[in-house]
Amino acid sequence: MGYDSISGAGQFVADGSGQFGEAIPSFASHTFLPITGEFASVRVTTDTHDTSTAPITFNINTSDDIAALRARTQEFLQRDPATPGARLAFRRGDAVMDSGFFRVDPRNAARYQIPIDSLVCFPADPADASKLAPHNRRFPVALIIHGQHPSIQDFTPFTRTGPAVPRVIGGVARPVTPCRADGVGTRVANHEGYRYLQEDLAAMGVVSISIDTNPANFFGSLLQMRAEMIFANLDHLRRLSRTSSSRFHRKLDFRKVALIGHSRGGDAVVLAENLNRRRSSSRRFGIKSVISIAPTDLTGALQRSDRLRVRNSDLLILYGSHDGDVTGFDGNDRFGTGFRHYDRNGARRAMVFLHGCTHNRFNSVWNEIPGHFDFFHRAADRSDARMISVADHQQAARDYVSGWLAKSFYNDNTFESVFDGRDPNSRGVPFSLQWKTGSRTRTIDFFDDSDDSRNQLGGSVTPSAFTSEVFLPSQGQFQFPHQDRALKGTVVSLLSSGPYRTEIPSGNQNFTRFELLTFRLTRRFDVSSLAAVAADPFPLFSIRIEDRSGGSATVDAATIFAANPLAPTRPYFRQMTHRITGVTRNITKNNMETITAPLSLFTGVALTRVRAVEILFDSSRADEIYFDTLTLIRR
Amino acid sequence: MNGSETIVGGGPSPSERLRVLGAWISPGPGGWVLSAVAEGVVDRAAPFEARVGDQWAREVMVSPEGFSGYLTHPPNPGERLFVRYMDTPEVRTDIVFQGPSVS
Repeated sequence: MGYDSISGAGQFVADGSGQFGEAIPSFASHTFLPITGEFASVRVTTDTHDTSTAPITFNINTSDDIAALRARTQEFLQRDPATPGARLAFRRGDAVMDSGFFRVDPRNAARYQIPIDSLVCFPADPADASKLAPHNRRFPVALIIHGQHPSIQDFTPFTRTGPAVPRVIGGVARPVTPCRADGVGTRVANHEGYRYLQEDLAAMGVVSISIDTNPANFFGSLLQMRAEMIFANLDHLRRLSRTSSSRFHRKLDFRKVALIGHSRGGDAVVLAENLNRRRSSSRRFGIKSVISIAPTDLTGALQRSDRLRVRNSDLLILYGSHDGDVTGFDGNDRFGTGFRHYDRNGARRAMVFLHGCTHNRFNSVWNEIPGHFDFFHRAADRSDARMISVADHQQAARDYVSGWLAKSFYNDNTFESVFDGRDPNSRGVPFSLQWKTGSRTRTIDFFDDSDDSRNQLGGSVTPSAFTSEVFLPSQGQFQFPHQDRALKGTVVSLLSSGPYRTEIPSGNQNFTRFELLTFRLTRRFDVSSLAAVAADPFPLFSIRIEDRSGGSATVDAATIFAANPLAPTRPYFRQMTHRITGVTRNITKNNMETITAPLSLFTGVALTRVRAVEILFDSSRADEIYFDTLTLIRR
Repeated sequence: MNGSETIVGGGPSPSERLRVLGAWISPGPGGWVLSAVAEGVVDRAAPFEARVGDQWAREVMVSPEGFSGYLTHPPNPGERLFVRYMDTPEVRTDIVFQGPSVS
């Protein structure tokens, strides 16, 4: 792991407001407030990925010029209700203008504006639900953004504008008639699907705004337009907070903002966090946290400097093992999952790989759309008993989102045990966890630098003959979902000997400032079947700490695992077959998870004067073990 | 329960539901517009992709009845249409460009 953006040792420190910060407020009432009829100047950007080359390139290739938008001749097809088999064709650029979906900028007739519909939820005054609850400080703000899903289903009413053209459709000549859109028929309210989260946020004193990105969905935008819509909505909310007649006047704290995104929205919030830094200080938002739910990773194949990563904010990722949309099915590096976002991030972070969770069940609307659903799982799908219910999805999201924001917004550590492997979620949904959070952290080695002979602290490294630093995707795209380098120990029974040793410079020798030695861990499990996974053992290794007087203590894996109540976990077996191609793919993931070795286990060694840390591989059986992110942490 | 996906709802892969019924091209700004009537094309997390011969369509957008995209130059006769999502195997359609229109 080589992306830690914090200087030198990768340390971050509490902000001084106290371990438990301010108390989390509690509000019994909330009010939902739709914001409609608002428009903003946001460019349609399709940021096309050029599929003819690898890596992907992004082209931002339009403006907010109406003529340029109308020149888009991409066709939107819908059925002709007058003639079975016939189709109606709309030019997309014309359709959004003629239908009134977009509007002419009142200040510039050559420009267009897009709608910024949204759904706000705020803690309500019990005496008057139209007002925000009385409170002694301003409310933090959370913005929620959905992903790519059906948006406009049809344009109705419409006017035929030319003669029908015969087109061969299904082997038969069918009329396709050019049309002008006079209105938008059915629009999918994708942004309504997170009410359950918004209610929870309101209860903890957070004003949330779930935004409708159907304009971006209609044009198939990847990330840029979505990110710009985030700011259009936040800017609008800030204008309201500065308007004396608004119920939000001086009620919102834009120094405390969280961005929560789902699917492509979960990718776009990372871009928005980056774009925020480029804004002038007066227009910038204090983005404390980014939360990505089942995110795509569309930039992971770009050159390293162009890959999106959160830089200045906390990052939480939720991803379901039964995701039927962001699956990693093809195992190609152009399309990734939340694992890669975690790998690249350098701030306070956690990733919860939720066993049994799907993609769409985090949005209460998505499973109900005819013709579109998680490709494997309708709302009532019970084809695999391991899949968890919609209610459990939503409760898990509530647990993790509200718990995470308790720290980000209020500096409250109450729920940190959920993110550092000590406690389960409230529904007992099984999971595999990666995390790096605490009041003090210091990374000894990411195993991801140009000089394998030095660790992150500058200490020398003495590898053994059977260890090497490897790029995880090279170990198998399907089984290793990461985009990271790690220390690989290939153990050949009885022939292996010698520890992997990393020296601790004297300036970092005092380990008593920390509680835990943590690392990310996995091994190449036998994932050929569910039974094989269940029977395969966990990695065998030991950790040895040596002090500067020659004293040492060695703790084996069994002892370390005993100190981890919820880890290690076995891979979640998953296999899919493509019916047309007949291709069966085992996409079971040997995902990394964070393991803690409490320093209190290392007795008889002077932890104030540590000379070296060693990883000893057990040579009693052949094995392939992967370590990463060797880090000291104080909770 | 065996951990393997079964045929429920959408089936085991999004691209397996794809069926292109017809396609045509028409002049557009800076190139050609490829339009297609298709079944099973949906908006999902992974972008939809299409190519005719070796030429990938750009800015592919989907609608309830199909998809469209830009081509820089018209396909050569005999070139075939292939489609996929960014994360799934490619589907070879039976749509072959025959000249002034794709059928």
